[in-house]
This record gives sequence, structure tokens and C-alpha cells, in this order.
Amino acid sequence: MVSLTKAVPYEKIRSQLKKTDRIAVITCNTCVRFCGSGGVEKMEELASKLRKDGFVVTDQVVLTAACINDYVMNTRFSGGLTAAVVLACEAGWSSVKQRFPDKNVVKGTETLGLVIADRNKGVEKLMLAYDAHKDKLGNEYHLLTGELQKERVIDMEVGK
Amino acid sequence: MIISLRRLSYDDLKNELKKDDKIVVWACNNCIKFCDGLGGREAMNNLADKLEADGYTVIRRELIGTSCMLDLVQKRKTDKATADTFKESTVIIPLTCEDGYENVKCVFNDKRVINTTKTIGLGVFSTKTGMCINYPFEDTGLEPSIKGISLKEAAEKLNLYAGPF
Repeated sequence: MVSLTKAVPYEKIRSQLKKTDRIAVITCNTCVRFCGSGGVEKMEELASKLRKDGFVVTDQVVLTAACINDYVMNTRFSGGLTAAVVLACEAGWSSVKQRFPDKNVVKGTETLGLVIADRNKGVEKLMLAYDAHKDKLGNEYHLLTGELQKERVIDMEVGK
Repeated sequence: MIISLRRLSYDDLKNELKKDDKIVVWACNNCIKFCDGLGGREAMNNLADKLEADGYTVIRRELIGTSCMLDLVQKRKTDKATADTFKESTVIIPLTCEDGYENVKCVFNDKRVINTTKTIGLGVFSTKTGMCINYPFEDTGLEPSIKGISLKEAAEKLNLYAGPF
């Protein structure tokens, strides 16, 4: 269930939007919340920053799981949207892009790979990684914040 | 959602089993269930039924909410309700993604744990189109795409199997 994502820097998100845009900030509430790169608080934080910087955020949407396309398709959005910022993994982003093929759908996170999680230890461990993040295989991150753990606490062989 | 395909045919799986094995069929009930029914309750029961019909001894059918949660897997080893059965087992067949498999292999490190799946990346599920792979790992050779491709097509390209045993 758990993909590992990290937040795209705010300046990079901002640079892909126009002041004339009508923007939806959309977050998945599953894996990205575990990683601290999405969820309600992160969505509020991003929408608030954008508004302070003079952008027009018309919609804030929490999806149970953005990778289930039915949730995306059945959500009501304001008319006249021109852009969306998506706090979800690549699959969640694809799902939103399927709904808005002709709009500017901006990635709010970068997907590193897949993790296992241990809630008792409060960490997740990167087990399978995309090429750009192979150097991070075996790294462990705090659940809910995504902060890199200095000492590894899950003793497990890492695959790819 | 995590996308996995099946590495083994049913005959390949049987070749890894012995008639005196005490088998646990273990299924995750999350992403893998959406992968054309490769996991979940129905796939677990169907595989266990098939193995029993072929003369194998299945001592437990274990459905887990998310096998990628290590603490949930560990609980099966220590919980009163399941500990004895797992202790008695000789082999576990996980119907999970590779992360789920790694957890089972790590926790039940004195058992044979058969790797039945290959995890190929992330995808989108829709009730209209089913599950598609959209963001594959680069080593699969599949191209990322917004629309995605069906698991059947991906399986054909990768010489793997889509769906349940």
C-alpha cells in the first residue's frame, strides 16, 4: 500500500502556476500521509501559502486514495478550474490527470519507491526504488513526517 | 496502488511443494486484490481449495489487511490465535506484493516462503477499466503513461502472469 514520496519544494510548485489560474489543491489521504508529504494538514499548508502569495485557490480536496480513479472522477470541483496541484504519488497524479487531461496538473510530490512500514517502531523502510533514488534503498524514514532516520531499526535485506 | 504480477504458474508452484508440507496460504487484502484478483480472500480460498484437491495439506488460510506493515505480520507469529499454527507450518505461500513477501520472509525466517509475485511499479484502479500500470520501475522496460496499460498486456510483455492462480 505504501509508496514513498517526498514533497516538491514550494518554489518549484509556485513556478508552474500563474496568478490568473484557478487552482485546486488535491491530496491523497493514504501513502502520502504516512510519508508526511500529503494529507489534510499539508494540503491546508500549501493552499494557505499559495493564497498568501496571491494565487487563487478555489478548491481543496481530500481523496481517500487518489490511485482509485473512481474517487477522482466522482469528486465535484468548481467550474473554471485551470490548474491543480496534486499531493499524491505518481499513480495518484496520473489519476487526476486522467480527470483533467487539458489542464495544468502540477506534481506536489516526487515518488521514490515502495516501502514497508513498522508502526511499532514508527518508521518506514525503502525496499524498492526508482532509478533516480536507488542510492536511498534501505533508508528509513519517520512515519508521518518523512524525516530521514539516522539509525536503521528494521533489520531486513533490501531487494532492488 | 502497488502493481504486482505473478511469477509462477500453478504447476510451477506445485513443483516447489512437497506432499508432506504443511502449507499456509497467506493473502494480503489490499493492492494485490485489485491486481486482477491476484490476492484477497477469494484468491486465497481458491488457491487453498485447488491445493487441497491436489492432495496437499493446507493448515491455514491467513488474510491480512496489509502485508507491507511489518508489525501486522509479526503479530501473526506471536498472537495466541495464530502462533501455534504458524509454528507447525513448513511453507508459506504469500499472495502479496514483494514488500509483503519480504515481511513474511523476515518474520517467519525458519520457514520456506515462496516468492509468487513480481512487483512492477505503481498504477491506477478504476471500476471501468480495471487495474493499469502507469508508473513502472525502469527495469521492467515498460513506459510510464497517464493512461497506463492493462496488467494482462504488461504480463505478456514481461513473460509473467496476470491474475490469480
